[in-house]
Amino acid sequence: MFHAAWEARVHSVEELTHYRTGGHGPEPVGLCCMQSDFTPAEIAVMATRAGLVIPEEDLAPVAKALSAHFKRVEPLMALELSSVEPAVLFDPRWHD
Amino acid sequence: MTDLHALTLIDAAAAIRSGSLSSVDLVQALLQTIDHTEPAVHAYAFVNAEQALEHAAAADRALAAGNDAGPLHGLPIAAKDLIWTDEMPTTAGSAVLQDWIAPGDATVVSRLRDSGAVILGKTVSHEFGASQNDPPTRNAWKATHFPGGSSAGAGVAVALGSALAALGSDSGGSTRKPSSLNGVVGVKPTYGRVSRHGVIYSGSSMDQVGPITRRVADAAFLLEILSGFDPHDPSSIDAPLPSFLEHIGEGVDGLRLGVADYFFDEGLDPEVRSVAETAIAALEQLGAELVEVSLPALSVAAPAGYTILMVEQAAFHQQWITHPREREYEPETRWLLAAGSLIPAMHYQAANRARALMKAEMAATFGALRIDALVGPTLPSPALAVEAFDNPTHVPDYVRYTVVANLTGQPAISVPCGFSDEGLPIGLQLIGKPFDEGTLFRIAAAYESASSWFERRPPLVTAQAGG
Repeated sequence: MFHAAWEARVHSVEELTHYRTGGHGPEPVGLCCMQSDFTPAEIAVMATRAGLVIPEEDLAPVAKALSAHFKRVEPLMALELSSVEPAVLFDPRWHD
Repeated sequence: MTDLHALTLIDAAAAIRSGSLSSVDLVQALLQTIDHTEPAVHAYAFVNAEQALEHAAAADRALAAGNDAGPLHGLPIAAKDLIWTDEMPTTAGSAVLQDWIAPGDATVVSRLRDSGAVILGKTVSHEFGASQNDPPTRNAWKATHFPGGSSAGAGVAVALGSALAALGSDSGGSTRKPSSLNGVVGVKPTYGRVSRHGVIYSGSSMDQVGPITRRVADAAFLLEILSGFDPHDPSSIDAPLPSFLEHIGEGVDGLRLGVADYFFDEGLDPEVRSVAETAIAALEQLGAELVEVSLPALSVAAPAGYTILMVEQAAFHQQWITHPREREYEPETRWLLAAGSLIPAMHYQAANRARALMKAEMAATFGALRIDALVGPTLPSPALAVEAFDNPTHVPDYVRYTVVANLTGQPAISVPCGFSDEGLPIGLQLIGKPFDEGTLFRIAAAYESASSWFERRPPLVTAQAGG
């Protein structure tokens, strides 16, 4: 139901980005600066684009959990970290 | 009946070896305690009673014939239900893996068995080590309260004496949290120190298996056996393995302990603050030198840690959480995994950049100030009522002190350091240099020797002893 209602309004990822940024020009702001209150309808669209099946009754709690995540990472995303090499686990050595 | 609550793992090993205690008697005593305590706390997912008694009898016969299997000969040990065992189910606390029998033992279980241990059973894990609310297990000290997690059953069983020792796993604090909240000792070894082969992932770059015991020396004893390179685990590191027991009694004189403002933030419960400060003062009295340190990169430890955990958990669960199997998960876990699947890649990348920064800052600070360990409270509050965890968004805040060591890969230990006015345990956390677990054991043992918190028993245990 949520999904169908949302599909009627938004037909592409670009439109979703446009919607999320309030339609201020073609250049989307970073996800760090996006509002963090997701609606169940938005979750439905994002899940579809990501190839996930989220039961309808889960859309509201997932929206709450993802909104909480976005709020939580605001201080992290506000940091200038572009010069920091990310911690990754990769060892190019060949082992016998 | 053997007084299990006065018996350490090391004492039990000596008693079995000397012939004053049989493995069968020990297993039977533990099974009696399980019968008494399980209805109240539900710490075990599976009790391997019949086979444990068979293995114990075999251990007794072997010893009588002069065959000593190793340091854990005949000692019953429990394992968290995320850890593979070939003779009992591994369900990860989930209907997704209901009745599933792993294709073999995890390396850590093999190491226990090779050292002579008897695997007593599987302790309850929160579902896949992910969801933390609505646990089936209850706190050992107050049944209305949160047991900690995700190694909930391990912490509670050890506190109640229904296990002499247990294996937990720790991705954001999951051995230290239940240890702190149930008044026992929990260790998160250096990442790469202990094999993760056969341990169901919670956060693949954060996970580590560690012991939960009643006493510090028992944890050191067990970690010596669990540690070592494993070619089956790509994250395993072939590092030197010193004896953790050899220097455990050398005290803290001359050691430098960092006290970081991060672990004493505004959200810290006043009672926990007071208890932790008293414990740190006791360490100073014992000869440690306290050093104030500032670690500003830790300000984003909670969001970075939880971002990594949510993304890595979600990625791991794509194999099962596809329609229609998603309904086999508990709703709270399903929501968390779905949200984790929708986290933007740039958040994960930023978290890993922050993680690198934290690691570099730790290394620089430990080096410049010649610090041997950081010290502070394990958790920001004593156990909360279970109802307080009805909102999963509370969890990241709750693990903000413990997740630091998962992010940086450093070893950490939680040791009991007091009680709240309500009678709930409080833990002290020590975070050490990579692969320097020995110093953590030395500090924790010195504190333990100067305190008597380990002598207190949960009301459920004293009720059993009394009647």
